[in-house]
Amino acid sequence: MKFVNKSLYIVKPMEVRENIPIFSEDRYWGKSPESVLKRGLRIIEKKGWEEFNKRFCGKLDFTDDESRADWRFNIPITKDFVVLDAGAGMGRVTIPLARVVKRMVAFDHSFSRMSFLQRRLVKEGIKNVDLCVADIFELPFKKESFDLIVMNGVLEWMGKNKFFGNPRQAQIASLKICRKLLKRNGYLYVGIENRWALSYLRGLDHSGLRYTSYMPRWLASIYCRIRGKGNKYDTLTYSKSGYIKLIEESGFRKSNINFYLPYPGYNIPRIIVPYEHFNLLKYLVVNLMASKDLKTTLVKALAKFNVFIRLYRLLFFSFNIIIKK
Amino acid sequence: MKHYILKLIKEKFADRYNLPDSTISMLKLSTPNSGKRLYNKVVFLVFKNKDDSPFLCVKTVRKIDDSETIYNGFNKLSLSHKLVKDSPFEEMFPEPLMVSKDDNGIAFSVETACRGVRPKANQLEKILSLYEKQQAFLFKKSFSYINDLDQYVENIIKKLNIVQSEENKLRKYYRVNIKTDQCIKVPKIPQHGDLTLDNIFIDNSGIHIFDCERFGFIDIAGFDFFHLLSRVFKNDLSKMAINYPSNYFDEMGNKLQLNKQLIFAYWLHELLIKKEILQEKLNFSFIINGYLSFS
Repeated sequence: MKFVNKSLYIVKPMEVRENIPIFSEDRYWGKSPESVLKRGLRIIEKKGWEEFNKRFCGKLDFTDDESRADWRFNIPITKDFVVLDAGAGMGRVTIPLARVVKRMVAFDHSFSRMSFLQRRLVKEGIKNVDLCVADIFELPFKKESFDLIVMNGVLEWMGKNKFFGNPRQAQIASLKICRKLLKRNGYLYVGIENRWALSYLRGLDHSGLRYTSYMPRWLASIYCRIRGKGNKYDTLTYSKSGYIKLIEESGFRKSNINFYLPYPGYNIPRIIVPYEHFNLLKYLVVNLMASKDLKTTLVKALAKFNVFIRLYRLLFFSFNIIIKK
Repeated sequence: MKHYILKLIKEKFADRYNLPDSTISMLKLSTPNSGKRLYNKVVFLVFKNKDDSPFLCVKTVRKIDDSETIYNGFNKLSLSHKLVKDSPFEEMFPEPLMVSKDDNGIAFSVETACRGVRPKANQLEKILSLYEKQQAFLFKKSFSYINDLDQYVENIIKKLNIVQSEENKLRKYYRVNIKTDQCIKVPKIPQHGDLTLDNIFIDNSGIHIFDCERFGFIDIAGFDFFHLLSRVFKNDLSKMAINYPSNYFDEMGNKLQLNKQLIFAYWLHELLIKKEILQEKLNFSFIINGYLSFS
């Protein structure tokens, strides 16, 4: 059995493949079927990255855009930080963060995705990242190991697990695990959608159905069972106050929770506005937004009224939540 | 990073902005290309208390290796500010305040934030007229010229660094279709280099131009108008020439008009700026087709 940094783990892996320790059942998830990713991995091995980029551009959910972790500017990260990236996927956050911290540990429950990330780390020449396949409810790490834990687009999926019947209980349990793994004064970052996001009027919710996030939970459950081929409604998102309640129930203090509004969304945080600083959001809409068409001109005009900005904030697409232990 | 910079701002600019008892907050901005290495810049607008507009603008990069971007940008801004200092155009560019490193060794710079709002399309005429006056002011500071436009074009062709055979075809095309018998002298004025409506704010006092990282890289008079108008009229580039300020060169005592040679020179400069993005696309047909879309 050969893998880097054995000292990091408190339990033995079930298996080690390509130097990646595997601690849990390998479960794939992603934009394309696993077979497509595996084909991509073979292309990288045989023909290199240039050929891979040519053939797979837009087919897989990876990016070389280093702005995806820009929420980090709101956390006093230092060169000595040890960071855990939970549900790291193909490394959109792992790579930009690894460049500025001492050490990163990235895990996911898909081996193929970790295998891809391993190749990307080699390509980028990044050597301070440990990868493993693990489940957040059975993490193999010592308590108080990390200065920062990243849950980017992860918390809403916690309901899809084999340990908890109630998705909310699963979310609380995962947050409690993170709290336990954080060092004193460490930070937890959560990137997640707003339950009341206006954009859900146009698109699908995590359940794969329309409007479920707006519905009362009991109604969403019935609706999902009828329309969603018997699936239960287990991908819960909340409003700002809902998240505060959830996070508090996990043991964090309310005064240590800070909300930011990322635009266009937490996965592409081109603009980040502190939630409480109402004047910044107003400035953004009134002064920075271009009057491209009638719609934006109208929005800019309405933004002069505080009530509109408050409403806009309430219906914002997603949140960056930064919680201090 | 943010926490370190905020602390430093409070210390350094306490008196100038009356900061000791103020709450400071930051709005993070970056362009869609910002994370793709080429323009790895991140901008923070700094607000005091519950003010409606920012008072400072902080620029930084995501990793230490890119710090040079910040130093270069700060130097260019300092150059632009020096040229208009104590003139009616002093507020056209931000004032550079400081450049330093954060606690992780990553460079950041601080400048004054521009006042105003993004201009509307119908304010284009006002922008052109105000910028024209600033250009004439800068020209009168040096009275220097590009004495031979043909040689100038030849130099840009070389800098494009395209395949030799394509380069020769480009030279031949210029000789046969664009070049005239006259030797054209063009005023030499440091250009902003990225004058777009996105980089301009407007208010009652005039226009305020930011993102001066390319200031002075190009010094052929009129390039900024070409750059601005070709973005405003990107769907019909032939409108670029129609809207080009007709008496721009008159202000400098020069009888020159926007002509084929100038458009070609400006277009080559555009391509030179985008060289890294365009890479293999940059060949004879691409260059000429692009040029012809302005006619």
